[in-house]
Amino acid sequence: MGLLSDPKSRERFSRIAAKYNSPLCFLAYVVGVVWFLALAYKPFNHKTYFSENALLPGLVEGKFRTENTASRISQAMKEIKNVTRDGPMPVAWVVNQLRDLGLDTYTQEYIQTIPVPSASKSTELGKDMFVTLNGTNVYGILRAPRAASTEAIVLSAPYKHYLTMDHNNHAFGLMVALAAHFRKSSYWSKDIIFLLVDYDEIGMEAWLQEYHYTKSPLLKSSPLHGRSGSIQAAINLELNSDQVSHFNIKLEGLNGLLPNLDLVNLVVQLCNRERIPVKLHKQHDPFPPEGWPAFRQNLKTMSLMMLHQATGMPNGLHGLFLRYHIEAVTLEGVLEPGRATTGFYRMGRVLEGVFRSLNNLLERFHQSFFFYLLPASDRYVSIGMYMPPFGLILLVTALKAIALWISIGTPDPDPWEGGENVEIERIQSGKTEDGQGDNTVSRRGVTKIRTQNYSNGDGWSLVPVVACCQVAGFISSVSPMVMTGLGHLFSTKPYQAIITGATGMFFASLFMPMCITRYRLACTVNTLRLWKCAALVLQAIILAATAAANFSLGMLMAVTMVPVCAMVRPGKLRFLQAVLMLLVSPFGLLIVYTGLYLLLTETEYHGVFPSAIHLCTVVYYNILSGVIHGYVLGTWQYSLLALAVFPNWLFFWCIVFKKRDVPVVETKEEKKKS
Amino acid sequence: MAAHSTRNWAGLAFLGFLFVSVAAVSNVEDQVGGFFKSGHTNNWAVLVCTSRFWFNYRHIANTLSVYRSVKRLGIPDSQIILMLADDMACNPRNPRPATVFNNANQHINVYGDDVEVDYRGYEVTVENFIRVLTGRLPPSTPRSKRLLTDDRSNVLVYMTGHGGEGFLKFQDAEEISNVELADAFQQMWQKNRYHELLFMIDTCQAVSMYHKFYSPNVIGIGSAQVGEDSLSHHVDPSIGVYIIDRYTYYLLEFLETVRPDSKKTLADLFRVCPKRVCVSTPGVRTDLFTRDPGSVLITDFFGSVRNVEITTETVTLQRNDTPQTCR
Repeated sequence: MGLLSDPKSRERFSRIAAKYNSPLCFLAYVVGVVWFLALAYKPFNHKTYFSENALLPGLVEGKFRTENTASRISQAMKEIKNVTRDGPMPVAWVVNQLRDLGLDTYTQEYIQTIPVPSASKSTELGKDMFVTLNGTNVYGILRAPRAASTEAIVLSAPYKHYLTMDHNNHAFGLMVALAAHFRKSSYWSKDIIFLLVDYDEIGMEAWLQEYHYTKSPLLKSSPLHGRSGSIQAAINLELNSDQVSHFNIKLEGLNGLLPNLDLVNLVVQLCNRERIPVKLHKQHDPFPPEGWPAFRQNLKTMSLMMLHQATGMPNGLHGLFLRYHIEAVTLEGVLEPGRATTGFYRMGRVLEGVFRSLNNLLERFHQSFFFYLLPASDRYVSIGMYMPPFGLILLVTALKAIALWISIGTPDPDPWEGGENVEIERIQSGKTEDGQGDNTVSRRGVTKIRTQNYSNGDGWSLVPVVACCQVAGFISSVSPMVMTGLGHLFSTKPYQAIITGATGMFFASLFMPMCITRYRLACTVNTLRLWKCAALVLQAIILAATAAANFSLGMLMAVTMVPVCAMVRPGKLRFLQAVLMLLVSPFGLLIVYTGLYLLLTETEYHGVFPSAIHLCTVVYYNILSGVIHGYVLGTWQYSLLALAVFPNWLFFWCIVFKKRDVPVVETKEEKKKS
Repeated sequence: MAAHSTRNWAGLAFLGFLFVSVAAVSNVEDQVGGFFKSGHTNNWAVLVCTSRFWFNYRHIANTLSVYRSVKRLGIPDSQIILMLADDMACNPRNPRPATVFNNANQHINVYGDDVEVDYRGYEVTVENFIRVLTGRLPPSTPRSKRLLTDDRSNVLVYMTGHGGEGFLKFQDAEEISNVELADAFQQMWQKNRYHELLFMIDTCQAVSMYHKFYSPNVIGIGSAQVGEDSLSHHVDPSIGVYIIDRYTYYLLEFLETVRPDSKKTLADLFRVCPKRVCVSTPGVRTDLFTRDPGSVLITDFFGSVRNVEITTETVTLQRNDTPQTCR
């Protein structure tokens, strides 16, 4: 150490950091990005493997033969739905199906109060602000015959109401068939809970909260009358039809949490064993596994995973288990036309194998990775591999901040970057060291004046601007709620109120620099350097902390925000800078990445205008669901953007539009000439 | 008369009873003399499985395979110290409760009908193992949990579990090193607790466990050389586990052909699992052993001989005429 405390090495370091600052930053950024993208290429990532000995995947032969039950039950459920249309879940019928098998069957009613309209009910309920949602979960517990009920595994399926497009009747059918098969066996060491969830995430959350005795003020539910031990793992099932061509495995959970990689491997391996193709984000594994097309495919899969993870929204019911440290994945059976299909028999065998392996578990999943990215179903990029390139990208911010910090006190006002005037800096360094020089020598006297003018950035000037930015952030974090309340008075639709609340503050704050400029809070170039230095340090902290919790969000923000924010400087090319800054604003990023997501997933292109409309619609719903999920499920992505990223961005925005105090510079230039 | 005449000898004697009657007397004595050349009067076995958890089913099956064999060949439960770190037969995951099989065909239930486990579960520790070997057990320990050997005892020590170079893991918490094991055997020797000792171990890098032995009359057999893994034999898909290790699988296959009167020797035992089938390379250490392994019967260690010492002297028992009084 001592790099910055030892004056000599400090001088050398500062010289290097200042002189080669821009090339170093450029190099770090390019290497970081290229390195990260290269991780998707097969030779740079690793093959997945089992870390947990106890799983013994696929050693046991499948004995599942109750596929007829699955067909019968799913057909019966379909008929019931046809009669009741969008009526409530046929609770009594579901209970009977499970009870007939001899399972301990219970129901749980819940009422969810949503302070804002729910996504699924908005059309009918119209202007009702406080939507309440009633639902009933049904679950049956298969008790392990020779073990105390200390541990459990869950097989869940969402009950899809009639109006939703994809009926999930087949999942319930398969669930009952598996229950019928499982209860004939004596080898269970854990209870198996079969859970049919009403209203997707909310029902799941209600059940999980009640199971773990955690309470939420918005969610009231009846207590669970039957319970089992601690849940070790969960599989959530979604089947679009009774014949599927592949399983789409969904991993991303609440707030970017991921299930342990061992569980993912287990599911993938057992699907391979039954020769059911596996896809991640509807992307197949490339074949041949190497070469340019394979790399593109891998990169696409990995990017989609990152885009999903960054949203922090669970893409299946499994995502809610993860908060309770219960490893869970969703298996979505998809029927793709023109592909070979498999029926209940092999799907049942896959699930049987998964449950036999989970049954073998002795401890919670802990051996394998919790932080990873998957470029293919059998390749992984672990946290140890993706963090170094991310660190390199953050190094840009750090280097810039250091260079600016060192350049504070440099007398010459012109080199904002501190690069071109190293010689002057060296001349001055001797002067500044001897206590700001009280010499009467004229040249030194001039120096003294300069150094006094420029040696310190005005640290106090940071306070109002940071405070303003934070207040703006706080307002935007609460404004959706406030606006819904106010909108009620003016009888605007709650949807619009939320969107207005979420984006209104953003657009309003764009004019903040004007207010600040008027008051002339900061003048000297050093003060501005200090501002930017502080903003960069803050940005590095925010990005690093975000990446630790939700890597994809951190990475996606870093890769766009870091270069732009490192380049901004007051004055020059203000329009171009403003455009770039708007592009990397939280709102801009949302549009950019939503666009990227649509680009990667949409197959047909309808032309510029319809695509733009489509993009706007998706962005609209993303903001909406981001806000609503924040209240209902507790995702923190919106809060993070509003309370940390947005104020930080606003800080940069102010810097761009801050006028340097030119007269001071000019007088100094004159003095120097004289 | 000689209690243990062999079948051949019985047949021969029956055919030429009169003709060889005079010569037979001296012949019997030769035969009997040869019979006692092993020099032991009782057999003991210490069988240890050090690993727990369902996925280590095979280690329990290993140990129970040897248990089954020594019991079948005549060592009674009272002279077998069986240490099993886990209970596979009653594990809830076992689809065939109360059984442990050595083979996917499930022909041999090595758990058997009456199994007497002396140390089980968490009682299987390095300390208990060393104490059993050296006899330093608390006074309260029941006789069934003690190794009550003497200087005429042949002891079979069989161990299996997860090991590395120079150690064998016990449970998931501790391990015994080869030095500790060698010292324990030396203490046994010093305390006259064995006559001859056969040490057999089926684990990864097994031979490293007998490298440090220095006590006399000890034979070491290990299933794998240093740097080699000892591998499992096959999976039973109905139970869903690796069911037995290769070395012990072939050992059991061999021992199933041994009968109490078998003439098979240790030299045959050394060849049970050639590298071709074992994949790992079993090792043998005989330099501490004084006899030629080719002339030592398997049953000297795996069976229990009830030898009778014949004396040519007549013992006259004094009649006790003292009247018994009863008050």
